[in-house]
Amino acid sequence: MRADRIASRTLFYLFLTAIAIAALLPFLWMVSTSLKAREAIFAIPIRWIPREPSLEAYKAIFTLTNINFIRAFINSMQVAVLLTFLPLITSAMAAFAFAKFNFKGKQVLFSAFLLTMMIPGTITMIPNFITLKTMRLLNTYTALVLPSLCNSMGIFLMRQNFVKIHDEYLEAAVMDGASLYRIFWTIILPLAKPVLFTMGLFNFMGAWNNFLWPLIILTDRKKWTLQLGLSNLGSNFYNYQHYQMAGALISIVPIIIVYLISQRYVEQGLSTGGIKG
Amino acid sequence: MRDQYLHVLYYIGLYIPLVLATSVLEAMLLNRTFKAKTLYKVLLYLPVISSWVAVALIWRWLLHGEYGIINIMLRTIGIQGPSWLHNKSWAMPGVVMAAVWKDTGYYALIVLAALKGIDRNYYEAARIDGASAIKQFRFITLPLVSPTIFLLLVINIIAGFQVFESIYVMTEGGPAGATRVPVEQVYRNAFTYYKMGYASAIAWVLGIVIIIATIIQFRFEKLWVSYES
Repeated sequence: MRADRIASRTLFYLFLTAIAIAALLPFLWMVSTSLKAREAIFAIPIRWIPREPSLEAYKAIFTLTNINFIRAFINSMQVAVLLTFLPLITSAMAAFAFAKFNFKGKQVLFSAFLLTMMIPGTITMIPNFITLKTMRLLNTYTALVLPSLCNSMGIFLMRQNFVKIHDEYLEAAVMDGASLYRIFWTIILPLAKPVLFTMGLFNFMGAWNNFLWPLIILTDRKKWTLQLGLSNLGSNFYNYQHYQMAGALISIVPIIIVYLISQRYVEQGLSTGGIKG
Repeated sequence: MRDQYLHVLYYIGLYIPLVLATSVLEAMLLNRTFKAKTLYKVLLYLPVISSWVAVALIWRWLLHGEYGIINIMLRTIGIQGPSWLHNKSWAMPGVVMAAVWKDTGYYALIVLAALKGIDRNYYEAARIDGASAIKQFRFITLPLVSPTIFLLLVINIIAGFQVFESIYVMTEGGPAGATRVPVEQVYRNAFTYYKMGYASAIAWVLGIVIIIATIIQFRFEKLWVSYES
């Protein structure tokens, strides 16, 4: 029995280590390669710690003539911030209406929203593109943001949360003469903080990492987001892996920071849970 | 058109069993207590939060035929690895490897939530009856997480048929069209040739295929998914 336990412990740590190595090794290799000079990246036997660490790759990618990485970074930040907060507001407003109001056709409308979640993104991509083209919005950030303002998933998640808020709160506010906007901003939103944080985090990650939609919409290089610049770096500097790894690292670091910061808040929010009422 | 569907079925056939197996394994590890578990969870989640473009660049480098670290490691144990993404028969497995690496952490957390819901008493009873670890897994763990696995299967088949971004950034459908998938056709017809109508038609056919595949899975659900009553 004892030998059995030791064997099972050993097996457990073996798997644990193997999976950790598999998950981390590619990232370590990325960091290592990004700090090497051109000749060193093709050296065999491989060196995990560069013999002569060099910032060559980082200097190079920030001074490229055809891809402006600093600009792309700023563009990505702008787009990601817009795409974090705007869909949050529109989803919350729609969810508020679905959760706390009665109006004609509410059920039908809500079901319609749920149905749109089941339509594959591949199918909606083309009509969205044609619509935005007709509106002469191609190559603008408006076109990046607009389709996300109607976020069925967000509306659904928030509605499920808002329904749990007791009507007494709202009735008391109405008695005190609070307007609908006031109720929305000072009662509904603060009570829904946990779900807002979680959705905000996912919105940011989705926006920062988005590639396909910006690729279709943004043709002007000056408006490119980081992912577009990075993808271009991958095809234009095919055999400059240290450039590619430096670019990849720069694109990953902000998302890790945001994840680490907000993950704590999300978990805190979930544990204190203001939603119960 | 036939080729694209064969490729996507090949992708689904490789990716889904692998990603489900690794996620279940990872979830079972996370379901035990050990030191620095939170840190471990964060590390496993790093691939999930990285963008596909970054992941593609990293994996293209790892899978480099000559200087890629995977082939270098294979060489040390005497295996000459293929040139992966530049080889017609190894490009798709290469993409699948990257995808499994990227997605496992995400699904593992979903499976973990299901594992946490299993009543400890089942295992206690099984141990008293002398059931081995393998038997406990087969007759307790697996049936009780089967609803979650079913959900992941349905989601992944829907997403699998629409696989594109990962393939586009890793191989652009190459080499020699070996990794071309239906959505790549949609994309190319719509945004390279501007044949919007044709592209929409391909997209709708794909949509119908997905609906049929989903209905079939729900038909067979009763055969292997057990819901606690």
